[in-house]
Amino acid sequence: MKPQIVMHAVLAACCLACAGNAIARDDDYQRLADRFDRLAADPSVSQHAPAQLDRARAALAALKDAKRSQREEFAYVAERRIEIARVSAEAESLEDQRVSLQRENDRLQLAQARREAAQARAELERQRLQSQIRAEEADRARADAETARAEGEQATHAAEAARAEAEQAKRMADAQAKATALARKEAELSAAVNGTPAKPATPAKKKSPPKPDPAKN
Amino acid sequence: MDELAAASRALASARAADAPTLAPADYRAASQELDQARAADGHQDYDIAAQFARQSAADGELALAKARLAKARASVDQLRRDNATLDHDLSDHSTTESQP
Repeated sequence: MKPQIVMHAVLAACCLACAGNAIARDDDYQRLADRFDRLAADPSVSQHAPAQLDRARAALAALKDAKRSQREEFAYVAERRIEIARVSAEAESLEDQRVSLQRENDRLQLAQARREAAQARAELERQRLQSQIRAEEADRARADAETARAEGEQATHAAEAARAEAEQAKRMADAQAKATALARKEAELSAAVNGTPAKPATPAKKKSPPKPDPAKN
Repeated sequence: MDELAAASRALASARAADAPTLAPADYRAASQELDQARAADGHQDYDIAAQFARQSAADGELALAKARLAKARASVDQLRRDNATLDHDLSDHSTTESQP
């Protein structure tokens, strides 16, 4: 009787253990199936990763039909296939965003390039105008300098003529003074010889200085 | 063995996509499982080899997917920053131009 009881107890324990394992396996499958269903219900995932979703579905079906010895491995693979589908869908969705953002980036860069080109044209025009103004100022300065130089030359000539005239007048005055002195001396000598008071001799008539040549001015 | 070849290709693709840097845990798991698959194959434990190879392929593909996701995310973030800067510059310029 006792060995039978022990045997029954062992069998019962085995059955319980097997039932527990089966429940655990069913729990694994159900957990993964629920996760897959949520993922498959997401339109973004079915749109962006249909092939990966199919592979996850196949892995889940393989898990459902797997022999007991394969269940752990198949659950491992099914879990990763589901994750691959989720991650791939997110990556594809981001890729769509990237393409859209790149188009926006191209548009903004084009706008910036156009703005820079407009700035460059405006700067070129500003430089051209400044250069033109500087050239006109230089022309005016050259003309002013030429006028000043001509006026200076004319003034020099006039000064030289005036100086020559002054020198001539001085020479005339010197000669006049000398003639007057000589006449006085002559009169004094004559008076001394004749015993008469000296009568001043008439000096030579003062000559007017020559008029300056107008052509010299 | 087909499974070994598939696992090896998946790992190579993951490596080429910078998975060792961008998805290190999954890449490392795939690499270790492929080593175990090759070892089992060497011992003529073909069932065990195929099992490890299938797991390696799954981890390798997951590493590849995560690496692509990381790159796409970085690319999108960078473009968002670039566009915000460009947009800001253009707006600033428009405001400056419109001022007397």
